[in-house]
Amino acid sequence: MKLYIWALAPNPRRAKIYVAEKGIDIEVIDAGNPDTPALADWYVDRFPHRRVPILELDDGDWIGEAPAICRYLEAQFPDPPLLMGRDSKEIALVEMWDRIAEWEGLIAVSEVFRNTHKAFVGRGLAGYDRDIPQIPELAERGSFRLGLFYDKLNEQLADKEFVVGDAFTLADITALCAIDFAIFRKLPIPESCPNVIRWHEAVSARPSTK
Amino acid sequence: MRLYSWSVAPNPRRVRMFLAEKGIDIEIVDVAHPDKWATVSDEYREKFPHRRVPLLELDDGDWIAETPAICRYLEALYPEPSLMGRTPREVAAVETWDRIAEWDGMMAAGEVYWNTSKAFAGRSLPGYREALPQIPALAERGELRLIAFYETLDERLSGFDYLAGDFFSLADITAFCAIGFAGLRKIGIPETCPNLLRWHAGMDARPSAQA
Repeated sequence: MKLYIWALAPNPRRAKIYVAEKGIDIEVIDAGNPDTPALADWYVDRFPHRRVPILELDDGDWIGEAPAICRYLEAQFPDPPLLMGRDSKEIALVEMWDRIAEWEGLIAVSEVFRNTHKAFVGRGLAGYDRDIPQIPELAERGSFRLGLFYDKLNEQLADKEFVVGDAFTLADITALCAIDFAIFRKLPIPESCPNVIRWHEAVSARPSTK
Repeated sequence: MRLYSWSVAPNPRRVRMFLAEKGIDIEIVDVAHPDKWATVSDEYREKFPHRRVPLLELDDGDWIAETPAICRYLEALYPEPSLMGRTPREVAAVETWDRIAEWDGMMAAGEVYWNTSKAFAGRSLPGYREALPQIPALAERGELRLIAFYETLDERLSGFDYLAGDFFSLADITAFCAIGFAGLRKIGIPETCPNLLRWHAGMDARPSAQA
């Protein structure tokens, strides 16, 4: 098995942290160009999905999309059984909150980043083989949405140690990747969200996130 | 257990098709606003801060939102017929392709619809209490993405009967609902995509397509 990532991107980081939490020893290959902020030509030629992360299996099949990769690895390496939920209900709640963290957090930041950065002109979305123009209004909307995500997460964490409950799960990993991406883009956690600040300090101290 | 649905929206349709394919009979509540067109009811939005459909309310009062999470929960309760994969590899293929169908198809169709429909002025994304202005350029981008989506599916279906492989799954349901959503804006499957047209005719003939 090989895990293809791009060191600069937030989605492969979800899979990387997951692998580190599980203690899975797997070959990790950086598919980014050394000089320009883009995926290498050999990678997009080989994988028509054109996105990272991808998990390549030993028979050449591949699995795309971070949560699908994590679920596959969870089946291969079930211990410790915390990251994707322990029973049907918890599994569903982890998936629900992972999607909220992705859709309202990670994608909102990406909308800001991709639609404002000079290096991403014509690449307003990842994974396309054609020109996707930048849309300044979408960056504004993304910034606004991110603020609402911080508020929602702050409310969710008011009476919980982690996003779903008492265990660190994939939903925490995705929320962390979203927020660190936002901090990188100078959209930090507002002081009005003390629960998010407390949670961010705690999860950032985990060795898997380094 | 009770499913909150909205008859005109594409995401609850995914779950209704999933239930129909499995032959599961559970209570389905339509949350359409009694007076205002294209809006869910005030009671629903007050009860469930997630403000989106579908949503599965459990007998203990807890709730699960987001279509794939609901379907995965139902799949665990009602494993047959399997719609989310039998082996870890099948499960992963379903999730990969369900996400492609959702992100590249459903969301692209949503970008077109929510940014052009007069009924959605100030609501360019579902689930937000706050106003989100429509962005005409985003509707254009959505149309561009839909064309790319049709090409991706056509290529995938040149080698497989269904999106996740040789078995019918949630990924097919999601792609079918996305294409139906795009159809509201008359962005249909182009004739240059024969594999996708063949697959779509098969999907249309399934009784669950009426769910």
